[in-house]
Amino acid sequence: MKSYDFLVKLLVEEFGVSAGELVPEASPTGLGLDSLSTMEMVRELEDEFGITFSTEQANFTTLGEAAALADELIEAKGP
Amino acid sequence: MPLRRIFITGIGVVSPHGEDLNDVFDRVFGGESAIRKVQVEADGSMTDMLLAPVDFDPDPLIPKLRGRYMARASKMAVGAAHHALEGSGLLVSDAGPAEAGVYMGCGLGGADELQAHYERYLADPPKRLRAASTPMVMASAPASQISMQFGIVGPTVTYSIACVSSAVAIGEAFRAIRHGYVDTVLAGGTEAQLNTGTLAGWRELGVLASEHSTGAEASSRPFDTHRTGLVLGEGAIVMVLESERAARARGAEVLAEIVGYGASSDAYNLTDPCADGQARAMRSALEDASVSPERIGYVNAHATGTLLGDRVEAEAIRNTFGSHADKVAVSSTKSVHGHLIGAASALEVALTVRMLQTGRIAPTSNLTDPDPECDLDCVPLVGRESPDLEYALSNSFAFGGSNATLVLRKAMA
Repeated sequence: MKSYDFLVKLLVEEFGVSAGELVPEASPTGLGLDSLSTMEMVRELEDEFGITFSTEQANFTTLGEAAALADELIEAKGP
Repeated sequence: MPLRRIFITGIGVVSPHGEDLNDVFDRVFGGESAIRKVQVEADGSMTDMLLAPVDFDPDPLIPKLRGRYMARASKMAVGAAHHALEGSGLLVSDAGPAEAGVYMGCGLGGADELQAHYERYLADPPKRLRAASTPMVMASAPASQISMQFGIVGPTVTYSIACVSSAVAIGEAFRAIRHGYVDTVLAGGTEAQLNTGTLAGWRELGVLASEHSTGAEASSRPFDTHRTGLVLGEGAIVMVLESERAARARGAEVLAEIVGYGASSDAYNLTDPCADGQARAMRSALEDASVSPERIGYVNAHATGTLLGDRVEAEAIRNTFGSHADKVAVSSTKSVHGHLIGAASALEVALTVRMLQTGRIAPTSNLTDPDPECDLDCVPLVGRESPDLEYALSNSFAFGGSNATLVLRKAMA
């Protein structure tokens, strides 16, 4: 999942989350991210892949879910 | 009913001379300058500027996830607050006294982040903005970050009044404790406005010192005939203010006592100072302290090294002290640490506390040719032993004509 790999790298390098905590079932809150940080994380994902999360899609609860949604949006966008 | 007494029981500094107040004071007393020539980007090329920058590492105190949302002024403020709480004995499991207040002075808030925000906004094509910019830029962010870092739930108050910001923060904290609103306050100031855009603005104002023939370190010359202006610095200083009852109940070491605070306005000019307004603040502080001018052994002057400012302050001191003006020692430590704007007063109060503790008055460095129009004992070049020093004044005067003076007393047994 390319989105998932991007999220892991982003969270470790930019948000200081320890790699060991990063599993698909992890929730943003569980990783210590508040609403502002989660919003920034989504924005970075959108910027990286040229996609846009809808308000509903932005209500994901786990990293795995966020990455899966992103991959769907990337797929739908096409080349 | 007698007024409550307010003690300073801890001081934390993140300053151009370092982060250990005792060591910082020894350097200042010894005339060691923290002013350097720094290469700064200006109009697409590099230019030299005289600055007193801080070498500050937020690790490991501030984790990356929190640091992302903190401009430089906030990071330094949290660092200084940590030192203050540790020194006072009030840091317990990384938390501070929950019911305390946080009273901070800050001139320009998150100036570095404000510049970064406008650089993104004005880029062609515009770059993606950060959601966090607004809460990072606000002048109240440092006080809030201190509250969040140390679990402090009392009032967070920020004063943004240019060069008197932290004098007013400390003074108003003093009043809040005195009148029973709160028992403990983390009070001080922070300033980090050495970003290129802000520096460009300062250069335009024409008040900055030019380099002295003997080098950068000699360029901040308050009260000297050949002074050429001020040198900008940065830093954060936080002190723990406690009511006597709270301090004695826990057996705190008392560093000094704040006994008076006075503030005034010149109602005169946006940048030029006024002796009457300054004298009003000093007199108000002395009355508040019930201390006559003759009992003041030392004045830590605001004196930034501008031709007009230093002369006007000297006149104001003479008007306030009358015949005692010939006897009171007056020095400007800005001669070695520069002007920290919103944090200036806090650093100068911290140094004045050390003077009261040690009985040693720091000199005005670089004062090789005292200006006859600043006709005071300005403690030129060499620090002075003053074991009988009991009361001191700390002056701060700002653009816009705001003036604030604090009266400090040596800790008595």
